[in-house]
Amino acid sequence: MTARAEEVPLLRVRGLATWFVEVGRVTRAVNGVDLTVWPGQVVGLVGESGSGKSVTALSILRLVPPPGRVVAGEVWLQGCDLLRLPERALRAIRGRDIGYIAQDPLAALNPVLTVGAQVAEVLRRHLRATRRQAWLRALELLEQAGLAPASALARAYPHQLSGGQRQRVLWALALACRPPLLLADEPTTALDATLQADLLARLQDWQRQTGSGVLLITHDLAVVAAVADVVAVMYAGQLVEWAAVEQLGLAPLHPYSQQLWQAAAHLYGGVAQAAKPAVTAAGAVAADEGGAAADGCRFAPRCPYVLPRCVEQPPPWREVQRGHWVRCALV
Amino acid sequence: MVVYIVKRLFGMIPMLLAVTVVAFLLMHAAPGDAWDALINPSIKDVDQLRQVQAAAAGWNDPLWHQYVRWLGLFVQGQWGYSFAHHVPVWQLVGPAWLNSALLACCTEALTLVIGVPLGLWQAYRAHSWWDHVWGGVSVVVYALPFYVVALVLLDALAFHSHWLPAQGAVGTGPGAGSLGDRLRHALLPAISLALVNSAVYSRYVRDAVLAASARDYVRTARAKGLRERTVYVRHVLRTGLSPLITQLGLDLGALAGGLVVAEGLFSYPGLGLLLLDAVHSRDSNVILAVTVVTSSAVLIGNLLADVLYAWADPRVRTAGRESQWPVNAR
Repeated sequence: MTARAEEVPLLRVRGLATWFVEVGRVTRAVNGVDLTVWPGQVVGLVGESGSGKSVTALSILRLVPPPGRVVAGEVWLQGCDLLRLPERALRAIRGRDIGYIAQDPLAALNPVLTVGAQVAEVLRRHLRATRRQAWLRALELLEQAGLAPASALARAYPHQLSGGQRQRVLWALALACRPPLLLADEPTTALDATLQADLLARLQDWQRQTGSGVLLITHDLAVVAAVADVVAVMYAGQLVEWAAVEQLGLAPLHPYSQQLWQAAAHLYGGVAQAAKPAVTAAGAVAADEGGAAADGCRFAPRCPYVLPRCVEQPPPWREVQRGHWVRCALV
Repeated sequence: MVVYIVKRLFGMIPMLLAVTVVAFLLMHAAPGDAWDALINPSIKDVDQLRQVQAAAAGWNDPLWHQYVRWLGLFVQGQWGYSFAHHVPVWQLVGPAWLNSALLACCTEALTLVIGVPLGLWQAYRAHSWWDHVWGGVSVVVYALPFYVVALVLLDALAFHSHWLPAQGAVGTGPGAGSLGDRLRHALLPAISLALVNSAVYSRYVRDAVLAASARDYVRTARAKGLRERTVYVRHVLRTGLSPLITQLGLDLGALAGGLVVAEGLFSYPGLGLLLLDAVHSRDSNVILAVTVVTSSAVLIGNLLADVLYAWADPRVRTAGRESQWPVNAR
C-alpha cells in the first residue's frame, strides 16, 4: 500500500476468513481481511472488543481455538503461505520468525514453571542453546525487558510477580529469538500510564535496532498515535479503514473511525471539551452470523449516515488517496 | 515444609482423640459386650460369673474412667488383649495392616496403570467415537455395585480359570507367605477395586487434560513453536494432572485403612475383615485399635495429598512467601 518497490513486504495477509462453526450457528469472526506489514513498520490494528482483532493474530499463527477455523485466505511471510505450510514447518516459524504477545499475562504464563524457564524454553527450541546458555540469555532478555533484578526474578513463578512484571516476561519471551514479525495483542492494556510509556519506548528501541515489523492490536488510540506508522480500523470481522497514522488522525473517513476518534478526543480532550456530549457508536458490535444482513455494510445499523444502498450491497474497499483505503459507499 | 508436616501431625491428635471417643461411646451404646459374645448363656451361675468378670475388668466404673484408662494404656503401647482370640491386639492388627497396605499399593498401582493412560487417550481422541464408548463404559462400571464387579471377576479369574486364588492373603505349600505369594493373593481384590477406581481416574484425567489444553499458557507454548510432545508433557500434563496427586493421596489413605466390603467378599485378612470380625464378637480392644489405625491412615493420606500437591504446584508451595520477591510495578 505504501509504494516500496525495492522491498518485499514482511507479512501479506489476503482475504483471511476465520469462522467459528458450531451446530446450527456460524460466527464469521474474521471475514476477508487484507493487510500488509513492511519491515520496520508498526501497524496498529484498532477496533472494539469482538471485532476480530485477536482472532486475526491467532489466524496468522494458525492457533485459533476450536471450533474456530481459518476457512479462506493466504498469509505470506518470507515467501511461505503459513496457512498451507505443514504443521512441522510452521512450528519452526512460530516463536523464531513470529513473536506473539498474548493478552492476559497471568493466564498466558504457565503457573508451575519459573518465568526464567519459560523464556529459556523458546531459546532452547530455536537456537539450539544448551540449558546454561539459554538460562543466561533469558536473564539478559528479562533485563532488557526491564525486569530487575532479573537474576532473582527469573526464579519466581508468575503468581509471585506484579502485572507489569508479568507483561515484561511475555515481552522477553516473544522477542527472545529476535523475530522479524511481532504480533502484540493488547500488550499494554491494564498497565498504568508510566509503565505503558516505558514498554512502548522499549518496543520502539527494539524495533529500530532490529528493523522488525509489528502488528500492534489495541483499542487504545493514544498507543496507536504514539508508536504506529499505519492504522487499520477493524469492525465486525473486516477492515473498514487503512491509512498512515497522520492521515487517519487528521481526517478519518469511515463513519465508524470518525466516531472512534471523536470518542477518544472527548476522553483525552480534557475539561474544555467535557461539556460536549460524546459521540459514540450506539448499539453493540453485531457479530456476523450470516443471513440477510451479511449482504450490506456491517456498520449500517449503527451508522448515522446510512442510505438504502448501504443495506443492499456490500460497500467497496477503495483506495481514496494514496495509501488510504476505506470501505464505505459514501466516501 | 518440615515445620508444616510436624504441625499437621500434631494437628491430627485432637482428631484421633475425637474418633476414639465416638467409637468408645458407640461401642457402649450398642447392646451386648465381649462377654455376651463369648459365653454360653445356658451355663450355671452365668450372672454371678459375669459380675466377677466385670468387677475384675473394671466394667462397672464410669464410662469416662474406662475411656481414660484405655487411652492411658493405649498411648503407652499397651493395646490390650483380644477377648475373642486371646492374643495381644497388636498381633492381630499388625499383620492385618500389612495385608491392607499391600492391597492398597496394588490397587493404586493398577488404578494408575489402567486409568491414566485410558484418560490420556480419551483426551487425545476427545469427542471421537471411542471417547464416547469408553466414557459410557466407565460410567457403567462406576455405577455398578462393587460386589457385582467383584463377583464376576471372582467367578472368571478364580473359579473357572484358577488363575488367581479366590481368598486369603497367603497360600499353602512351598513359597507360602513370600512376597510373590502375597501379591498373587492381593491381585484379585486389587483388580476389582482398580477397575472401579480407574473409571473415576480415566474420567478425571480426560477432563483435566482437556481443560488444561484450552488454557492460555498452552497457546503461549504453541506460539513459541514448541513440539507437541513438549507442549503436552511440560505444559498440559504438568498442570492438568497435579490435582490427580491429591486424589491419589486421599485414596491411598482410605485404602490402607482397610475396606470392609472388598476384604469381606474376598475373605482377605486385612483391617476391614478384622474390624468386621471384632464387631461381631464385640471385641472392644480390637475395634478401638483398628479404629485408631484406620483413622490415622486416612489422616496421613490427606497429609500426603497436601504435601504432594504443594510439591507439584508452586502456587501452593510458596503461598505466604510472596514478600520474598520485590513486588514492584516496574
